[in-house]
Amino acid sequence: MNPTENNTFCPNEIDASCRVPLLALFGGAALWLVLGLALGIAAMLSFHQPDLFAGCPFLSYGRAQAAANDLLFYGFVIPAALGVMLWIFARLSRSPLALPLVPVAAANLWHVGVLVGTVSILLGFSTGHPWLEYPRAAAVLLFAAFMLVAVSAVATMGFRLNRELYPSHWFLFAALLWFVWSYATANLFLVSGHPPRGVAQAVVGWWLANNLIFVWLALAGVGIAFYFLPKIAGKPLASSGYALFAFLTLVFFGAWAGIPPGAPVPAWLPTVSAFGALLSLIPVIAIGIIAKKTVCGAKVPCRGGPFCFIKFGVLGFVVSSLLYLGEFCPRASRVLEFTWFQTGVTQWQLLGFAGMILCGAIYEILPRVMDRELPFAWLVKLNFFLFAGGTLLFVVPLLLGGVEQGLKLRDAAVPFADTGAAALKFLRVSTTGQLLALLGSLCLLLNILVMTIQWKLGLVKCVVTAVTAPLNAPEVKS
Amino acid sequence: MKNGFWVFLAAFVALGASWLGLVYGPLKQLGVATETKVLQSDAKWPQARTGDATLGLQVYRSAGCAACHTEQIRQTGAANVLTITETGSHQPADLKGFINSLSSSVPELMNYSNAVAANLAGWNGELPKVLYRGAADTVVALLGDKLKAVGVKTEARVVATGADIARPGWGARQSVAADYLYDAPVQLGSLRAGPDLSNIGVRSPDLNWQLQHLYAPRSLVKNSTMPAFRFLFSVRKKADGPDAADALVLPKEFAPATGQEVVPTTEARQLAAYLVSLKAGVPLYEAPFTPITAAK
Amino acid sequence: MKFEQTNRATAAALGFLAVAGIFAGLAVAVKLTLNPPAIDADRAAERSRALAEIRVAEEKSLATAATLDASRGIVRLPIEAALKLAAEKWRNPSAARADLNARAEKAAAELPKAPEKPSAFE
Repeated sequence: MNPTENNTFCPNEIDASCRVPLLALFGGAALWLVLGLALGIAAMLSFHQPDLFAGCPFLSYGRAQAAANDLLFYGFVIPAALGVMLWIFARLSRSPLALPLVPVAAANLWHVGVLVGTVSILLGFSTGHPWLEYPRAAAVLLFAAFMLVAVSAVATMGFRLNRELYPSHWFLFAALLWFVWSYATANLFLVSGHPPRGVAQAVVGWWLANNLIFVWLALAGVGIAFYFLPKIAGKPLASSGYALFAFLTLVFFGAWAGIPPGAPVPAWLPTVSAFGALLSLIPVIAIGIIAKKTVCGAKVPCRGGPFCFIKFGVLGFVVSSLLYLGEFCPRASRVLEFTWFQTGVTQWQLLGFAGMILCGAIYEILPRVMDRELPFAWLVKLNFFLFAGGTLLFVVPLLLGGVEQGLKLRDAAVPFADTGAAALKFLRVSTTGQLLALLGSLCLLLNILVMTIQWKLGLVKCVVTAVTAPLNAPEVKS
Repeated sequence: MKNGFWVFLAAFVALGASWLGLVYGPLKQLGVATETKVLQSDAKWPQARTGDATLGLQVYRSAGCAACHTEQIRQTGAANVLTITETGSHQPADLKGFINSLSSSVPELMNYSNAVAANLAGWNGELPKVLYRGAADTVVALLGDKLKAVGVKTEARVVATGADIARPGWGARQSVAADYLYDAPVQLGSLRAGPDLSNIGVRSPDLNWQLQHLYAPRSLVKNSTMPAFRFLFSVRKKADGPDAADALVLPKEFAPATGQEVVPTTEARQLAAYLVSLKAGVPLYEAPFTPITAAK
Repeated sequence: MKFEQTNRATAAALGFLAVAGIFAGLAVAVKLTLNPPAIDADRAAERSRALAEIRVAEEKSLATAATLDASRGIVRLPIEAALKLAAEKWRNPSAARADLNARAEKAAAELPKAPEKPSAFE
């Protein structure tokens, strides 16, 4: 990489420097996405055919569902987001990735960690804390890998000539810090020899779940969206001031939500969370307005491409966040707590918001980074419709089923078995949606896999040509 | 902004504030808790579990039972209830008139006269009869005294209200922090695909019922969607002679092939012991109620 | 230019590493300082006290010598001292046997009767 005199790099060099780290991160992420969705379907089969895995402890609902959720978040969302983050930082700094080998090692470390964690859960060594089921060994691997990628990303950010930080910078840099801090805190308290006494464990667990699934996901997803939306639409981001307002309100208010209203804890905790959730409506609406202003009037058709993914993702963010924050309203929670509604909202956040934005970003980045077209470009459109339709078909019945289940649970005259039966009809539709989403994720995996193979074959061809090339005459000693 | 330092500062202050409020605060308040006193008793709450039940909690965690079951009951409030248990020598109609005149003459009861009258309307004398159900404990005490003076036996109780409490057997009061003191990890659960378990030891105290339910849920609860946890049991050939003491007694459709018996493994036994130990029916300061004493 | 950029990048990376440990450090600090006594600490302390009392009483009764009842000639001796005394005395068996009956009857003597009027000091 030879920099020109005024030290700017051309985009090709920047993209080439990201090639191997991003392939390592995206390839693993796509594989975990497929496995996570498949495991989720296997788990839900327990409701349609309860005796299916009766003799198999590895696929019992409790273990399979926990492993599937963690595969979606730790296996797919985080590595994909880190990969996109590295590329965005490199592009915004107009310089190649700093320490390019570090993220490659980190990606492998991360995937090993996810594998160890998933196998541990299926074998029964889960810690029992939601979103923190990976035992200490896997958690340490994940933390170390994240730190390595974060150091490379921050160094890239520090390398920038133009010192002005864009809104994407704020969101994504804050996301790096946010995960490191909350994940370390929660693991040190809960997944350790002397956890806190009693229900304090649950409080720390809820704090972590909110910080990961709501705040971190929002920081990462919105940061990525605020980079791509203006780029693809060809217009600048609606307003830097609004974005700053959205960022500050998101971090300050979003971190306080999390404690459910019916929790067996002193009353000040759910009250504080309810207020935090109420105030967190502000950044969600602000982000929606910014996105709408940026996208509106852009004469760019999306045709099922990355633009569609990202627009759908931002819409998914606004809707899923409004539903998530609504769960902390005491009145609503009397009906919605402990129902499939909460499951549906979480899946919307993971698949319908983060999944869509990350898929769109990957499809946008991959051709540039690999310097070749996608092997199956038509699969992108299929992926979009399968994913969008599948996610809606997956999530909306869960929401509706949850509401009906909640209403029946409120009425003590309805026997408990009927509340489950009410939800079962919706679950059948929901599992079909999961299948569609799985097919969509297969499209992504296929694209990345074939692209990797083509690239590796190209490398091999290069080496072979270099080795078998006829030697220049002067090189042959007589 | 030109400097990453400001982003770091914003993130640090934001997460730090929420850490102080939602991690450090609860640790200082709840993380140092010890046993509390049961109301109107010298007993302490909670009781530490026996060995099998403590290990059963780990089986519960390992199998992921918290994915479908919660262990927390919610309550919307508490009501003071006054019930007439014996009318003594009075006729129901006279008693009705007497009570109504009381509530309209005694100043403290006047606000509640409508409620009491509504409860008494159409009373044909069957007992026990709920006279008042509401928030005012003064009404209960006053009315109870006045009725005792004329020979009518009443019973004053505090009951919890709420949809979870109304479900039979689910619990007599809400779950409070003290209930989870000895749990590591706390398995509160977040989905009720199956019923709440915080009082399952009172609803189904029989170990054999729990074991059979784990092996074949549909043999005890029709249309249950609970998966069968057959991997917690071993199916083996029956030994000659009498049946093994711990072999499960199963209905025909769920029984194994002839000549075989189903025996719980250690883990199944521990899990059943844990489930049977889940009882939460003692009144505490934060969640008072009048326990039902055995009938005389 | 590149040098300055590299400097900034290194500073950023090192800064990140430094601040990354803040919350981990806070968690460790809280775990070290917030060490409540065990839930059954009161009971454990009470039982330790009781055990200590028992040990002291045992020690006293096993290792010290004292007169238990002078009027009946009953004393407490450590076992080794009693063995030594008995071995010495019984070197001459007939002499030792001589006062055995008298000593046994004295040890089994009746207690004096209580006075009819309780003493002024009771």
